[in-house]
Amino acid sequence: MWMILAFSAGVATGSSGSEVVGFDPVITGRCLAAMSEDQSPRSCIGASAEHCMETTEGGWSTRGMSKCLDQELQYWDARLNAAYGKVRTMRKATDKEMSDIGSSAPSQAEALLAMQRAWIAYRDATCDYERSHWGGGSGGGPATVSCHMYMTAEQALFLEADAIVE
Amino acid sequence: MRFLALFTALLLGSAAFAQDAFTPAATEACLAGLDRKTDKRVCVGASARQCGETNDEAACMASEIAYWDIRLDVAYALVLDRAKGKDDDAVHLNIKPRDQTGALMAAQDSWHQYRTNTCAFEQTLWGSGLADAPEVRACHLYLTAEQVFYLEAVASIE
Repeated sequence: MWMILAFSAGVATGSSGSEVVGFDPVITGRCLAAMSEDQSPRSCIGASAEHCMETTEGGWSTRGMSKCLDQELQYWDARLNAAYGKVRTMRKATDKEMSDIGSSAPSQAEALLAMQRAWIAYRDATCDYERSHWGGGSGGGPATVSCHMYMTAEQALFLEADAIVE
Repeated sequence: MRFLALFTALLLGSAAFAQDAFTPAATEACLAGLDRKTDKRVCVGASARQCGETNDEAACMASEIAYWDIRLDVAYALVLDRAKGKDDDAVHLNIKPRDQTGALMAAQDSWHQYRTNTCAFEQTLWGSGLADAPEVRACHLYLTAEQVFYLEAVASIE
């Protein structure tokens, strides 16, 4: 768990967001809240970063884009870690209940950990591949952060939905 | 893109589906009718559902999973071919090779492990705990379709 948290948060280091004034995760929250049932929450991913690029001076520069995307990555990363922690607590409780009644059912918490580890490897390899489209070009920076942001958001939404399953 | 669709259709035409009653028409018609903003996933499973109205649901689901597996192979082969082409170009142009082929293969391998482990986790959540529980099947169906959408999008951009 701690390894995953550290690993996950490590992605976004390298740029602090102090100069970014236009970032506000409320934009994403508002988008998610306004969705109808037949819409996918995925359509809200990137909304805060885009707003940030539009409202920050130099927001559309390579550096500006990276910073804005990185801010939203941090937002989703925090949500992912929170959702993961919640699901892990629930799954551990179920494991204990099952073992208390003498069940030999496979551990849900261990399966969760294996899933999250595999997801991290998948995220990193996929974003490395995305970067390869850019060669050494300057677009590779924002493209890689964007990839991490989208994938992290999707996994956060997946685990948040899973947290509802009792 | 049109080439891809044709290639897919040819491959699928010759594929032996477990269930003769299965046709991917409902899924494909749904995808063809989507606007760009709608999440393609709403169409995943449409054919299995239609087939399941009058046939064994598990067999119908297996058939749609087989459909997406083939489509994944086609999309992956196309993108891999492009990656190899780019790597070859770099060699001929004497520019720094980016090894996109290696990056793509690593990404696809990691995706397979991600699908395996994610659906194994789902498997622990459901009553039967069996690999062929409907929820586990649905996990394979959706994750495979999503990777197809991803690779097909990459292929259409390049």
